[in-house]
Amino acid sequence: MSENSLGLTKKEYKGGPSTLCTGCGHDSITNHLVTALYESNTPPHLIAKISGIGCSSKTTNYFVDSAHGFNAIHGRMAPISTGAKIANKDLQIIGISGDGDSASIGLGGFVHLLRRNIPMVYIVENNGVYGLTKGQFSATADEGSTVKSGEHCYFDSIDLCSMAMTSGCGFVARAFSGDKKQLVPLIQAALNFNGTAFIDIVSPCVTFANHEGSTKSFNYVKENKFNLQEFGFVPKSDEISTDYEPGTSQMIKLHDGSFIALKKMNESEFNPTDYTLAMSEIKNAQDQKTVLTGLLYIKEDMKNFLQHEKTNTKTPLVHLEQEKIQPNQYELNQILQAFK
Amino acid sequence: MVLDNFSLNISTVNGTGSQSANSIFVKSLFRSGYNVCGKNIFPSNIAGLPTNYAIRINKEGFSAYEDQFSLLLSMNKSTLEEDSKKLLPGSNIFYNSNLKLNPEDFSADHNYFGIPLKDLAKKVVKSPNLVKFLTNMTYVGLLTDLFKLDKNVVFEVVKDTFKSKPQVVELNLQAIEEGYKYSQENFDNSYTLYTPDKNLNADNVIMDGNTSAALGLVYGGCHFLSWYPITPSSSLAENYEKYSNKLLTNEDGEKNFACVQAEDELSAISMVLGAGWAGARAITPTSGPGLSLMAEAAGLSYYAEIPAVIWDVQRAGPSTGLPTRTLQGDLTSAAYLSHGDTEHVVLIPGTIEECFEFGEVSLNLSEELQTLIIVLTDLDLGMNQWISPQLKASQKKWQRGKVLDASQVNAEFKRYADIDNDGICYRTLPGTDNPAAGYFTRGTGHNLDASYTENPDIFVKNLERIKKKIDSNIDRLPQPYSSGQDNDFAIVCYGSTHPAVTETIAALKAEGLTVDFMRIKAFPFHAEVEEFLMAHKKTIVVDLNRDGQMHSLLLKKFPQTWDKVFSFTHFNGLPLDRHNLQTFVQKIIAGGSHE
Repeated sequence: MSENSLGLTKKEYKGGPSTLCTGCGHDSITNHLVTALYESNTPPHLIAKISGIGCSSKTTNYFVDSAHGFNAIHGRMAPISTGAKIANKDLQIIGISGDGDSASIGLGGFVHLLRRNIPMVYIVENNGVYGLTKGQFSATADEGSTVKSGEHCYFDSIDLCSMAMTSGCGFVARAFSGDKKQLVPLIQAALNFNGTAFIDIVSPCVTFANHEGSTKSFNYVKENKFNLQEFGFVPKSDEISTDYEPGTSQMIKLHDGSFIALKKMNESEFNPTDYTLAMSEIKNAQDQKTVLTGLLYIKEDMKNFLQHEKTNTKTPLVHLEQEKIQPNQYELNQILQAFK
Repeated sequence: MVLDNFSLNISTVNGTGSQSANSIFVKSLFRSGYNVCGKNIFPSNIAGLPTNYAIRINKEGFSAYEDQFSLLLSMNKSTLEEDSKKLLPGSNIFYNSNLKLNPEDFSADHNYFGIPLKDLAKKVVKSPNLVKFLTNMTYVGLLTDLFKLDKNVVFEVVKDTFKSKPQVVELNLQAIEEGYKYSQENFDNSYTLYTPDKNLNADNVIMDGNTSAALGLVYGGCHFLSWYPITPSSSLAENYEKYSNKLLTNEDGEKNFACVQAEDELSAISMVLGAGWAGARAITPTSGPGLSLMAEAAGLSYYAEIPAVIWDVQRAGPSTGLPTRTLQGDLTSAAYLSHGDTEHVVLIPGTIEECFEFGEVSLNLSEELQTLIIVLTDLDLGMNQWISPQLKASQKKWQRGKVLDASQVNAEFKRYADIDNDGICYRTLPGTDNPAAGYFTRGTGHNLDASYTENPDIFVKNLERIKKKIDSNIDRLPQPYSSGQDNDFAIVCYGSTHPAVTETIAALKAEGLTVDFMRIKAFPFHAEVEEFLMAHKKTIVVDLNRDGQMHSLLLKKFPQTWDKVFSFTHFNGLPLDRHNLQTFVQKIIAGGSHE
């Protein structure tokens, strides 16, 4: 059996058996995550899997069994991840959320985590429907789509990718759960990004949203998906192969020295470092009822939360013991002079 | 006549700098060796509404609020009538005569003295904006003369207050001088306070509980604080960040702490849970409305056993209520915050020193008991000026609880196994380099190794163990304070009512009635609380809330005391004045029964 550079097999990145419905898009995402983490040589003990409540949030149990996981409360994956990352900056936070969890009950936390640029991977497994409560619309369901009961969605969907961009996120991607070729390198790039890397993954709900009226069914997404790029991830240690020749590919260097290699598709002039273009392309795709996938926007030169002057922690806070940080009585007396 | 006790009311308009003037006067009294306290009765407003500042000076050391005053300094025409109602008959009213009061409105009960304070300020400065601020400073000069304080002491306080701004110092000194001179030239009816003990406050400080708590957190090992701005707790968070920047920052700018202003209280408490789960000592300060929003996460902390601390500086509810007034209205809500069976540990400091100590104590307990600790203070203790002995950094070792490191954990590790039979299980932290260390924290039903289960027996056992975990470790919580023994009657209180209750007890004693005293500092209660109630024929329980929340908790825990404990409540948003309590106690002892 093959091993990664840590001497670990892929099996060691797997988790417990899934209890989701057979064929659920979320399980495909879990498999791609396992592959990406394995191939990225991420030390399992440094992984912290954090989620809210919902079908997607259950999946933190289905990968990297030996890592710590935290399946918390509905809508609070973002602030819980924020606290965990600030407490121990060595952790690789994998936040898994759903469209109900992030686009409705947790919308405030979602936006503010991105605004702070907490270094982590933030995945939304987006099926447009509340599965665990049996098929109600979520806020990412498209106007005009229907749920299983036939009920019509009257409101515009919340587009999490454009919202992520307006919230200051420097890594915004959309993918389809069934597209391993695109998703695995996307996750690898996300793991190496110096800040919040957000991936909105359309993930069909086989039980409640896989019918004709849904815009997040397997068939709909397959037929209406528009891939922006062929996506490659080049780890720091690897040489850039001829597949990514300059001119035909766009190379984006990440802060740790690794590269994202983007091979343009369909003659597109898309450039993911162009904010305005990305916003308009997202909107165009929405208007044309297509699902635009790939790396939509990237901005590499941002400071993450822990690099600002105000919050510049170097040693993980959890390692700061009393002997190291407790001030003394003399210093207290100095301060108390102001109260005398 | 020499005055051993004196309460004065300074009535101003908020947003005019009166807070600085009042603080300078209070600190001058403090440095002169008086026992003094200052309570700001302020509006929920930025500028333009009435605000009162109550200052009490007392020879015997009593520092409770008095709802009757012997002097009114009025800088606010609109509240003169209302302010006069709380003034004892025959008292003097000094008012800003530039406000053009109508002498026909003056009551016959009081003596009125107008002083053109604004004109005095105009002598110092011309800019109308500065005149507004300096007008208030002129009354500091007036009061300095009326109370025969050493002017140099006041000047020193001004210099220390504005030390980085020499020009501001100079203008304020001039304004004080003008008020002082005017008083000397025009009034001979000064007040003769008792002779102060010049050394009384040599080792004391005068400060508010939020500042003390913030320092206590810095010294108590708080790595992480998240918060959402809310009166009256905001200054706790701001001071934590201020002092951490000073004391917990390396020379190269590296921070040994983190402070995050969250988007709401849902996130503030969730960040604390994330940090506590990862192994940091973490807290969120808040007040009533924030506490309500934190309810769901409180249950998660309780059930998944994640260390967390909420520090609730209570204000008057329900709903938005009176955001700038004081109450102890969150007690039952804190004790049972969240859905399902959740009985939390609640700690209640009652002094400035305890605000400092309980920082470390609450963080220790959160990690030792692996649960949410809620600390309750209130606006009176949190934001008003109290004299306190010098704060002392604890020499104790921080208690970090049962955490297994990579070398201690093995394949047998089960997160929720009660190995020591004390209800407290061993935990591991994310990042522990041992494949056996990982486990899956969840708010859903879980078995010993933290896997999901809906098994009825396991659910019952788990909830029972969590209860045992707290109930069998009550001795770790702060012990109640008690004084006196073997008397038939007693008073029980908690938190900021300590001064009013001890003064009541002294007043009763002067009338020949000796009662015992207990101040509770923690819930669930220690066994000695029950013993104390059982040992007395009648005990009055003092609550700053309508429903007698402490009284109810005591009856719930010790139902056999139902005919022995009596509820006294006070809930108008002002701190407790002893007089009503004293009357109530006398009535109960004289044979009054439950109404």
